[in-house]
Amino acid sequence: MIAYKFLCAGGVGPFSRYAWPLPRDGGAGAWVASAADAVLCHGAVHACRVSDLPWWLHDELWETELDGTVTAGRHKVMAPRARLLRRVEGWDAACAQRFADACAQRARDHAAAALDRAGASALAADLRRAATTRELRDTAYGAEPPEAARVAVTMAGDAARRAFAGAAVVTAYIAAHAAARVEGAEAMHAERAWQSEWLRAALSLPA
Amino acid sequence: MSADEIVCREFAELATDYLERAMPDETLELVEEHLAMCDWCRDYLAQIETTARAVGAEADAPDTAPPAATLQELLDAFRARAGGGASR
Repeated sequence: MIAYKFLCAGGVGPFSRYAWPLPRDGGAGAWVASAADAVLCHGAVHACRVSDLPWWLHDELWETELDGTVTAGRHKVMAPRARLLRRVEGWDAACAQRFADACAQRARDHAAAALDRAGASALAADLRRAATTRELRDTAYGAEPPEAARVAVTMAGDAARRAFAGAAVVTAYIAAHAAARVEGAEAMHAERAWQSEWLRAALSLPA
Repeated sequence: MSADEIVCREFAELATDYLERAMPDETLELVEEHLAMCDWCRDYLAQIETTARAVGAEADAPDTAPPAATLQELLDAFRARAGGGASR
């Protein structure tokens, strides 16, 4: 099975701190077997499907081949062994920033919807006019929304603040929760699906 | 704990178990999902790891171990506290 792994710079596991053997000379990296290395957690190598990507964003994204019986967790897959095939070059700091900005804009739209419902259409329009992350942050934090929309507007400001700092994974998390806050629990799944699709398209990953 | 995710306060309660790998896979996934996006909890975890290493190194050094009488006093104090005794 082909899956993906987010790693720290240099191919290091963010949780295991395991230095993955990198592909070289045009070939795949060496196989890493979970049983052979106690550093890897709970007897399995972890990776993610395209739909899981927004939960695990990190410095580097690697296409990964899993071998053996693959089991699925909520937002990851596990296998007895895996190897890195290639780095997904499209995922870099600039792409992470674009994704963070897009997520902040989504949080903005959820907040604007909450404002419309609360009868604060002028403020909703102000928020929608905030084209940049900085404008969104300043507009949201400077707003005085009605109580019914207060949390959603704060979340939009928080999303913009974290996006402005380049924290893509946090911005995505806030946007998902903003969706749930305004539209209900199912909207969180839809928001995560939107994020996965954004990443898939931006990185030209297979569906 | 929510079935969908954990928050920072819950992570603080699970941090030691996480370091000791003493948790079921389902909880592990929740913990790592939280860690992936929470820099505060990553810092907290790093602090715990650093403290554990420092305490472990001290405990392994025989010349820095406290005297037996001091250890006994500490144990008595902990037991009294755990048993509902007076706390300071």
